[in-house]
Amino acid sequence: MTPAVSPASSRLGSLVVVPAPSVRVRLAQVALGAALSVDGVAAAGQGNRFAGAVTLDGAPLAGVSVIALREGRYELGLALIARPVALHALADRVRERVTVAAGVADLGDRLGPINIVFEDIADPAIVEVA
Amino acid sequence: MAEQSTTPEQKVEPERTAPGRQVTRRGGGSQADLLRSERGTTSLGNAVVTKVAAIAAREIGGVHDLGGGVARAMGGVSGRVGMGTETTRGVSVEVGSRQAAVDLSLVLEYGVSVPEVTEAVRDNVIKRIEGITGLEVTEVNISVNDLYFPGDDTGGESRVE
Repeated sequence: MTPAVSPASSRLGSLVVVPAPSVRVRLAQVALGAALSVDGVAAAGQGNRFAGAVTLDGAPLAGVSVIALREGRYELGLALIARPVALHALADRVRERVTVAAGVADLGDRLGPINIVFEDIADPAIVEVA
Repeated sequence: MAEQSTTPEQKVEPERTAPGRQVTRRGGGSQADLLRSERGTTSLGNAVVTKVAAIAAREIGGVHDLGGGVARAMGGVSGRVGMGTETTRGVSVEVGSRQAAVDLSLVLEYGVSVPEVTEAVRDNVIKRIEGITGLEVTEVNISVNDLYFPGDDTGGESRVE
């Protein structure tokens, strides 16, 4: 992993080395953020059935998995909790949003298939409160 | 109170009227439906169909609650230990690759027409599941386990101290 900042020290103090997130982690973050911004998606699921779970700072990113494919591309898995709307159409909207977001983040050429699992439907009462 | 069951015979296609329900299963997994495309797969957990059926049943006027007496009594306990939620109590689903079958236990309000309310529940459950999940609903079996009388929730005065 390439460090974002080279280690160095001076009279003013030392620089902390912060490793830049890998493509895999960046893709997971971008995809999850894009998916959760789609109207009809209530929350991220657990993603317990996923292989390729992504961890960030030692903590797992719930609801997303990234698996490396050939030629530098990655297969995404998104586990989502949806509101009671047409789910297959919602899945298409999520894929579109993720694809656009990956392109904006300069990760478009890394994006492979996007597998979506709807784990549950958000309880309407809970949604209204939230 | 005696249990009343209704079965939607007219809603089951001829090839599925053989004894027992026939739901086309894709072996193994718990996910309800799986659509593959070049852009990825879409799959639904069983909890999705269960929750949609429960919400759809509760949308119909005259439905006081879901679940039988035991289920309702145990509802709080089962929810706390992760066996289900208040929302999905009284709902059982069988889900295949393209089809789903639903069993519902209902408590209706006293005074409503049981045939009318159960038919409305059945229609709404089918409409919601098919609209939201894309699955074909082969049958919705409904058991009316109890009637609710206004005042049932308020405990009467105890006869003993």
